[in-house]
Amino acid sequence: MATLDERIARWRHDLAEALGGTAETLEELEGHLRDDVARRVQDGQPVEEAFDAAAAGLGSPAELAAEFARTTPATWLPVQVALIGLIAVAGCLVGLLTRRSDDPLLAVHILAVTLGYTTTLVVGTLAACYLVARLFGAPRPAQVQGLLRATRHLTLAALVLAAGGVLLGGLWAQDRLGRFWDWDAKESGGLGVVLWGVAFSVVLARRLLDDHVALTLGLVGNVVVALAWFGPNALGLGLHSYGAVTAGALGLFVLSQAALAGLAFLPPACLRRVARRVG
Amino acid sequence: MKIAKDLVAASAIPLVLSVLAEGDSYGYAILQRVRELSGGEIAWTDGMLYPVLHRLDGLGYVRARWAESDAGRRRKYYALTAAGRAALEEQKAQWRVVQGTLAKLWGV
Repeated sequence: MATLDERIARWRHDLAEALGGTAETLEELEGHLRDDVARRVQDGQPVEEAFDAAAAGLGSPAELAAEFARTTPATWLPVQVALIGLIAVAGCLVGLLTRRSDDPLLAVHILAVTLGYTTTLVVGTLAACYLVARLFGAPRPAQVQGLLRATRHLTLAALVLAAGGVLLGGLWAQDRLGRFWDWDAKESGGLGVVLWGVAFSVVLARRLLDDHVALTLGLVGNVVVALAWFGPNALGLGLHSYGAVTAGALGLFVLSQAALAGLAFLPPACLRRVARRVG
Repeated sequence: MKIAKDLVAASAIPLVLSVLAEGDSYGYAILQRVRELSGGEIAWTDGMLYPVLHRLDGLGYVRARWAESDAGRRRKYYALTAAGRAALEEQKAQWRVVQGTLAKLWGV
């Protein structure tokens, strides 16, 4: 049978994995565990029982990590990459559109809509990264909280940009075509993206769903944007039916998102051992 | 009686600040003090306290220092700072308003 020190060492190892190795915090929590075990032993409990009760009282490593994550969310590498990518796209778009100084309203409309849609796609891409990484035991709970925070902020930014872009598009159409709104396929798609942004923002801000479900829902944004952006092109509908995306390609993309969503039902870290064996 | 989770969470900061207003202390002792004063009615999960302490440290309301315990191990002690005392006074004022309002409504 393992001694108390061996059990504490194992507990500390599991905690270090879940928390991400903050030595001072580990030492503080270990001190708490030892204090509680000592008090329970003094009260007459056998050491084994005292350890089990003290460890349960403190919470499992995953629960502890989640508690810390609520106060100190950590940044996950894909989130950093996505943010840098988004800034780069925004920079390129501004550069491209400043050349269209002949129609500033149209240029700002295109910029806002494109950035709104792209930001929604970034949220969806992060959801996909999360679902795949989760199978390999990542991200850590603190990083999940950081990812949720980024998802919340990006969704809100996407909503503001898409709504502003749709509104500016209406104003441009009023000025050039004599009508604000015509239920054109692409206008309706834009409205769909805005409505999705509102719904997802409420879900995230009010924490209406479990973190895992909320992050997985980010994939819906990919489908909504793909249909709004490329649907009219693929189906040859309305004023904006240009571009080269086929209905088949669009269907495949939607199916791929459904397949990614299916990963949410697999147990976390189920591929970690496979990855270790391959590695 | 089980205190609702939301109320436990809302009262965590004023409770911790109030315990530290009595004198420097460490996590395990803070928990014991809250249990003792509440007659065991406020049952925090032990792990909930440390993120709160670290957050208070980050806000500058408490200052942490390591010192050796009687058992010879290092232990992290927390002390209330001037900002922490001001925050505690603010919390007291807010809780008194809540308490006074409920007392009037319940006729106590």
